[in-house]
Amino acid sequence: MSGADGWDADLLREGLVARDFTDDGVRLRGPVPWRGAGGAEARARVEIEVDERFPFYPPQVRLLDPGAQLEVTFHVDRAARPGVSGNLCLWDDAWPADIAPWTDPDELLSRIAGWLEQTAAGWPGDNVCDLERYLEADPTMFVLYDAENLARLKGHAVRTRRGSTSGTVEVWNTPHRLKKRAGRPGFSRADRQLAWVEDLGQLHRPVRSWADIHDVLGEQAASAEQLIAAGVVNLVLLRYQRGDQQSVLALTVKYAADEIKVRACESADTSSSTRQMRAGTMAPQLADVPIAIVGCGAIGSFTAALLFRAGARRLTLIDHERLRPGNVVRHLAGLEQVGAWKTDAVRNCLTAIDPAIDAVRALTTAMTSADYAKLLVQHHRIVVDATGSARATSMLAFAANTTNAEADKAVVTVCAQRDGDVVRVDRLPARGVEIFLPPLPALDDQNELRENGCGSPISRTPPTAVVAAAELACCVVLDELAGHRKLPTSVAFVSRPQPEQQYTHIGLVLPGSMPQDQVVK
Amino acid sequence: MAALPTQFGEALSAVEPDEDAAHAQVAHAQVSKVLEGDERLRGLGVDPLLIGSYKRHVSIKRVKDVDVFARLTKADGSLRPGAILDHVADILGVAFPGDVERQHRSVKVDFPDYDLSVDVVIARPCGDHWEIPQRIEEDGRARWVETNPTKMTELTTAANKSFLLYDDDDDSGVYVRIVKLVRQVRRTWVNDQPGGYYFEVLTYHAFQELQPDEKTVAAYLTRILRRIAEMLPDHVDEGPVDPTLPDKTIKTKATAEQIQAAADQMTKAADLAEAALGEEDRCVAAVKWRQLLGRTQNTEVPEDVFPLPDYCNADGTTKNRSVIKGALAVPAGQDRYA
Repeated sequence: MSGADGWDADLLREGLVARDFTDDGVRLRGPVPWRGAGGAEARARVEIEVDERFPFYPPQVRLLDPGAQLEVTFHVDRAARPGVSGNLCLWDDAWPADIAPWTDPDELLSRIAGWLEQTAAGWPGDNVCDLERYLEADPTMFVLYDAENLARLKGHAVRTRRGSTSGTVEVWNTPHRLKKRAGRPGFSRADRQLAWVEDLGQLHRPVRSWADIHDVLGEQAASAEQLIAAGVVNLVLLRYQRGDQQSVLALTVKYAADEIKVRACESADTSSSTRQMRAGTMAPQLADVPIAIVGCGAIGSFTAALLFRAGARRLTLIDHERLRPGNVVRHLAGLEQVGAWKTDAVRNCLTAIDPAIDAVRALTTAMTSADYAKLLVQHHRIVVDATGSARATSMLAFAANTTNAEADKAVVTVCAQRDGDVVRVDRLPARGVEIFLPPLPALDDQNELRENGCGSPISRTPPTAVVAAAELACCVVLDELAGHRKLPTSVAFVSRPQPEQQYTHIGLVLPGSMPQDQVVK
Repeated sequence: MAALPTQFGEALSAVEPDEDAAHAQVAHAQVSKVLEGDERLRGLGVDPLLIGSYKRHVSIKRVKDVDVFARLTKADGSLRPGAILDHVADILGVAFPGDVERQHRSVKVDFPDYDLSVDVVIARPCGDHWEIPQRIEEDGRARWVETNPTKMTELTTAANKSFLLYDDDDDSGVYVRIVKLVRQVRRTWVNDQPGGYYFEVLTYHAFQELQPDEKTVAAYLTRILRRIAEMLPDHVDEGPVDPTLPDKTIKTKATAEQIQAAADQMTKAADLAEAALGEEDRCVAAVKWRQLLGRTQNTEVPEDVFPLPDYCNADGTTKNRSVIKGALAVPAGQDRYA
């Protein structure tokens, strides 16, 4: 496959001219045979523009004349100017450029014919919700609404408020009761900047103006029109359905010269289900699993965030230290949280991801006894040990090894070693004949970093290794919770070769066939 | 079929006299202002009009002279052209000292900063047409000759509306584009005479005769060049019919030998165009088109009018396409997220 040297473009142009297209060097115009309604043969005329994005993007195709009775509905961009067709949407962005079927003239013309046939048939089975495409855009506003709550409203006015970022508008979830001003025309001060919520139902053609919306709503449109004309409503939210998909179209509305002008703005659903869509496939099963994270320093904070983002909601955060300015460069929390307990700092960060953190507990305690460790193991499905402390890890290992195997509990201990050149995760207890990777001996450090007022030396682990360790820990946790148990009891990643056997090569290290004298049991 | 439409579009841009056009407008406006500001000429109803190839949008880089038709709408048969030309030369001489030259039947104003000149031709009404002095005697008397310079502009506009690349687009006229390319081919292949207007007229007749309907500029050019090559030998003794005055023919300074030489050269040019159009290999074709259209003339640095595609070498071979930037394959394959 070639690139952007014009070869493919010239080849396509040549092919189209051979298929009766005329080419002025910028655009080509010519015929596309297709089958209209009832299988009748038709001959459309299209304009094709092969621009500088070709062949990475398909050429722009515009319909000049369908050659048969045809109402253009979906899958076409808004026209650049009146009287001109918009570009047909023939291939969505998911189409790989290295396959690029649009470089072949026959494929291109066949795709256009298919588009025409689908349009004539009313796009059966189509569920693409992209009504914004057909309207003039209002880029100044970004509308946030809760689709689950909005679903209960129809033919209601609701209040709006400014969001926390510039241009953002949040729509309230409860109907607003309009108040007439006593003895005077018009509405009260509170009745300003309202949004109107309506339901268009199943749509068979896009709406391109208020007139189209009026046609769909019929008499229902009257209330909204009255309030828009009065300047009370400046935003309209329209629920609609395409096939099996539901969506909402947000419009800014303006009344001028006996006409309602509409512009589409970007909008987004704030409901929990939508916010969880990108959490990964395990999100639903993680929501109810109790997980403890002992140690909310650098690795612990990122581990907590990743698990929370993946859907875990019952988290217990345990740490007894405050966040220091020097921690911030490797920690999830920023400077604004300095001085807070690390557990609170992490919890605050999680709030910014999802306010539903009722089940996230922040405990400012230290791992002081084996009994406490056992309690943690008993009350959580997984305990992540991100302490980097030999004593705390020993206590948790003891708790894991002495807990009834039937109880299906695990301690996942994570750390970075050798200044972050090695990150390692061990799952306890070992099951059956499982063995651990051999430990890496500590090296003498002549240049220990120390911070005033802080007792233990500071690790030189870089932030990248912190995130890598957290990611590896999450892999082990998710493997355990998914019930796959494909990962062995030790997993390490070496980013710089170490002298010790097993750690001499860059990459993932798993316990393999090690000499017996090196096996750790 | 190697029509290379993109490159033809760029070739047309390369011969477009953009900067000259801006200068021509300024020069024309300055000269017109002087003519319209003169009391005597106002009394004669002076109404300057731009004519010539620049006005018809068929001029190519570089435009060296711009014609202004000084219509004296209130002039009658008693007007002596010698005297009025002297007067025009005088007032222009005051406005453009040192840059004005009284010529045989016009006044030439040089614009050295723009490297172009404006030719002012006086004209008096004659029915629906105009007359310009053919030869001015010592006493200022002259025989007047009928002319209709605005008619060629009208014919050009009509031809450009009639011959369209796209039947459904009135702005896709191909006639003007082909006239420009023919003028460029003439500059490249014909030695001085006949001039550009002569070839424009031949192009006009070729279009009217053939009524071509092609898919690309290259195909139009090829057909028209062949027809011009066929027509030229018929005009060794007498020029082609003047499209603006059907009972007259186009006069040229070219000798019979020069017309014959031009015919031979245009035959070669037409052969080359046909070979380029019929060529399967686009790079071989591109080099032929480049040879046909030659280089820009009268420019500081002559440049090839026809650009080669990025994938072609100057000798017509195709570049090693394995090293061309922008391989499309993605190392990680599909289904990626970032």
